[in-house]
Amino acid sequence: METLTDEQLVAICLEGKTEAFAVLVKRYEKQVYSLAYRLCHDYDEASDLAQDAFIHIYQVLAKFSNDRKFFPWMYRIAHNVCINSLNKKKQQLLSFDESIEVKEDSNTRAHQPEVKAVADETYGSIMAAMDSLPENYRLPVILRYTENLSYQEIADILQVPVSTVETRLFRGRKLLQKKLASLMERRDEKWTVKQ
Amino acid sequence: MDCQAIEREIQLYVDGELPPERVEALCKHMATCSSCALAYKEAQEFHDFLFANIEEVTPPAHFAADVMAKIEALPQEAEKAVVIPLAEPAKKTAFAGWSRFGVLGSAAVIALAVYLSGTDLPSLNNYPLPSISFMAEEPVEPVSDPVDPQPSGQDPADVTVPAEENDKTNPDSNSDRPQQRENDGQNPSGGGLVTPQNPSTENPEVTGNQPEPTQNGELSLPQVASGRTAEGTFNLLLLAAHKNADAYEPQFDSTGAYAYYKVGMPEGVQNWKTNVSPNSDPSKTEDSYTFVNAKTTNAVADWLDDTPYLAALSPDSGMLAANMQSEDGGLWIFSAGSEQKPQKLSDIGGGSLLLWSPDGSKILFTDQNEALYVAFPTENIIMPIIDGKVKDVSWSSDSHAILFSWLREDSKHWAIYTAVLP
Repeated sequence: METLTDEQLVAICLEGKTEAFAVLVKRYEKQVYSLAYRLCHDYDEASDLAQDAFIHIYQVLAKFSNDRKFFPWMYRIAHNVCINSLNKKKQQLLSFDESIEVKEDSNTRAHQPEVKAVADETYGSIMAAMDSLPENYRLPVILRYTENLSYQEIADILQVPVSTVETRLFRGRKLLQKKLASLMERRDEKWTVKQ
Repeated sequence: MDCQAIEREIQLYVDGELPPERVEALCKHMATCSSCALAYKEAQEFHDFLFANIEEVTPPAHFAADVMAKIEALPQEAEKAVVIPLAEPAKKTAFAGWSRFGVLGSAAVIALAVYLSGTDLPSLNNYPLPSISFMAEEPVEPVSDPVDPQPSGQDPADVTVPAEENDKTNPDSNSDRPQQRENDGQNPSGGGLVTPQNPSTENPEVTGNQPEPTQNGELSLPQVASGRTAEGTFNLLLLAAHKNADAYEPQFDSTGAYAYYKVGMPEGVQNWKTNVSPNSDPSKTEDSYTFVNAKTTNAVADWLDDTPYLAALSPDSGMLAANMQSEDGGLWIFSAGSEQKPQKLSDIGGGSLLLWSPDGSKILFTDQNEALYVAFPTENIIMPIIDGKVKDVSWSSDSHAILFSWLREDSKHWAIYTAVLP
C-alpha cells in the first residue's frame, strides 16, 4: 500500500479502509508536525495540533476532489486547522523568549535533540522575525525557508499563481533580511574576530 | 537587463527556481555589474544563513499511531464531513452566482449571518480584530437560485413592470423552482428573500430621455450586531436611468430625501435631481453640488511599498482600511498609527473604491471588477451589494443609505441606484 499514490490511498480510505489513511499520515506526519511547530513553537502543542489536523483531514476526506493534488489540499487544511485552533484559544504566538522560558522549565523535553536547536539564539531570532512578518508573507516564507518547499508547491497550497508566491517571497525575504540585519552583522563580527 | 529586475532574478537563482535559460543572462550581467554581484553574494549568504540555522523538527515516534488510534475511536457519525470555520478571509466563490441585484449574494450573507449568530463576535473595543473565522471550508451554499429581476428578451428601456410581473422576483412564488430551504418564509431570524413592494411607475419623459422604469425589491435578512441577530432590511432601488446618456456622481442632499446627480448629455454635463423613493421622479435642476469621492491617504506601512492600494482612515481616525490592488488584493484593516499587524478582512477587493460610512460602522469597497461590497468590520461580514461595474458611491449622513452609479451588463449607460443597508 505504501507504493500507492496519495489519490489512490484517499480512494481506498473512502471505501472504509482506514489503513490507507495510516499510510498518508506516515507519509506526511513530518510536514504537518513541522508546520504546526513553526506556528506554535511548542512540541507538545504541535503534536496536538498536528493530530487534530490529521483527524480533521480524515473527517473531510470525502470532499477531496481527485482532480487536485492531495498534498497541497491536505497541507492547506492542516494550516487552517492550526491557525484556527490557535486563534480559538486566544493564544498569541509565543515570542521566542517566552518559548525558551517554557522549554527550559521542562525537564521532560530536555533530552530531545530538537531542544538544542530551539534554544539556539539565532534560530529563535529567525523564527521571531518570521512571526512578525505580515500574514500574507509569513506563510510563504515559512514554507520556503523552514519546510524547503518549492515555489510551485507553495502556490498549490496557497492557491495562488506562482508569480504571486515569487512576489510575496521577494518582499517577505526583504523584510526578513531587514529584521535580521543586526543579527547577521553580529555573526559577521564574530567571524571576523575568529579570523 | 536593469539591476532592479536582476534583484528578483537573483532571488529565484538563489532559491533554485530560475529557469536554466535565464541563468546565463544573469551570470553575464553579474560578471559586469559589481553591485549586482554583491547583491547576489548577500542573497546567497542570507539564504545559507537561514538554512544553516533552521533545523528540522521530527514528530514523536508514536505520532502516527496516536492519530490512528484517535481516528479509530471516532464515532461513526463523526466520519461525515464536519464543517469548521477556517481562519482565512472570505473568498469570492462564496458569492459565486449572485444575481445582478445582489439577491442571491445577500442570501449567501443570510447563511453567513445565521452562522455567525452563534459565535463570539469581536467588538471594536477589542480591536484589532482577530483573524476572520467566518468562512466555512466549503463555499456557503446559496439558499435560492439567482433571480433575474428583468424579464428576459425585453428591452429594459421599454419595460414597465406591473405588480404581478414584479412578483417573479420572489423565488417563493415560482412553483417551478425547487424549494431549497425547508423553512422558507418562516425563518425565525428573518432570512426571507424578496418581497416586492410597490409596483413601479413610469418616470416622466424629460428632455427627450426616456428613463427606465423603477424596479425595486426588498430583502429581509438578519443583521448581526453585538452577537445578536436582529431584523434588518436591504433595499435596492433604481432611481434614474437615461436612455442615451450616462448618469453619474450621485450625492444626497442634506436631508437625504433627494439625490443630485450628473448626466453627460451631448451638449454638455447637466445636473439632475430626484427624490429618493420607489417612485423616483428625476428632473433637471440648476442647483449645483459637489460630489465627494473616496479619500485616500499615503505612507501607510513600509510593507505596502510598491503595492498599489487605496487607503482610507475611519471617521474617528482610529482605523485604517486599505483596498489592495495588487496580486495580494483584498480589504485590509488595521489600527492607525500602530505597529499591530494588519488584518485581512477579505480576499475580495482590489477595486478603485474604498469609503467609510460617516459613523465608521461600514466600509464600502469594490473588487477588481468594480462590483460593490459593504464590510461590517464589527460583525466580520462582507455583503455583496451589486455585481457589475459600480462607481461614484456616496453615503447618506445617517450611514444607512448609499447612492451609486451602476453600469448594467445589458445597458450602455450608467444609471443611478440607491441601497438602504442594515
